[in-house]
Amino acid sequence: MREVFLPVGQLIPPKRPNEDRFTVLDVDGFQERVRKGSAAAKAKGDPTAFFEKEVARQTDCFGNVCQVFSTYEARRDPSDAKPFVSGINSIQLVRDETGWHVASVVWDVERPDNPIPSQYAAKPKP
Amino acid sequence: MKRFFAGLALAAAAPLLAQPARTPTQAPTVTPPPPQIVGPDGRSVDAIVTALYQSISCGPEVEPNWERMSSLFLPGAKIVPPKAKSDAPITVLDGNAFRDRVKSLLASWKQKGESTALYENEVARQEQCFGRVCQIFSTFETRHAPGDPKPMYRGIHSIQLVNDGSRWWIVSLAWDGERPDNPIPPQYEKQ
Repeated sequence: MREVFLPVGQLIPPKRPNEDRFTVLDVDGFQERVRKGSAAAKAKGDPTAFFEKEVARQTDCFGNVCQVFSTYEARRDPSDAKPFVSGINSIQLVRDETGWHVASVVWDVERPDNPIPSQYAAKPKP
Repeated sequence: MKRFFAGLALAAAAPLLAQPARTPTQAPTVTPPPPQIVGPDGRSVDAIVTALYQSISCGPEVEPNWERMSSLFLPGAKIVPPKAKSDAPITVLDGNAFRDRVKSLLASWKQKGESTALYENEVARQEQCFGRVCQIFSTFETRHAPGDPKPMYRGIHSIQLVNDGSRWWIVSLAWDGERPDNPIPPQYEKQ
């Protein structure tokens, strides 16, 4: 993950109900957040396995800048029929001589009052 | 970035600090307004993108509106300008570094006897939003005077935004400029 991010690249998770402002994380901060979340789930006996995949993508590129709107699904087991969480990642990328790098990722999750708009939903299999 | 946003952060904290400790014998005090700044520029995605262009634009001998611009960015936000040369490393700036960069650009124009006025406006926009996240692909033109027939610079801004429940914030701004080998694709041109 560190390799795909700019050294100063950032990740901004959705705000939790008990947070009054956004948390801007670097990869280290994100690692810590995921580890803490995982440890807390383990302590409660909740599953900690996490399989995330992209199910739809919109891309806008110009020169050395791209932005991607990437719809994802996460499952506890890759064979689970339904994901336990879905959402959209907004991924901003920049390119140098060595290739593309993630500058910033922000995302939100699907909620009853925030369904994934049809234009960003996974296309049904033919 | 810290100093750049210090005013904002202090202002946000002030109503909390100013709230007097209440004891049972005290008469109830007037409830202070909620400790929340709802900048009018953050009220919508359209408003904040418009404010970004308005704040960078400035007449001759006038600087861009740095205070207004800083209020658009979430503390910690990233600004990623195009590389100076194709083999140059990517530079990531905070608000202070970006301000210094624009200031030296204006100073270099002045030294060359050029106008230091800068007018930047959006000519096309692609917008993708979901919940509290939006990303904008915003085609822009830069001129020395609003009436100049041809822009001196064109490009596309990639603007990433989040909403904290009270307003929108810019969290990352990256862009590239048009070059002979990098023309603006037709789908991002003015329609």
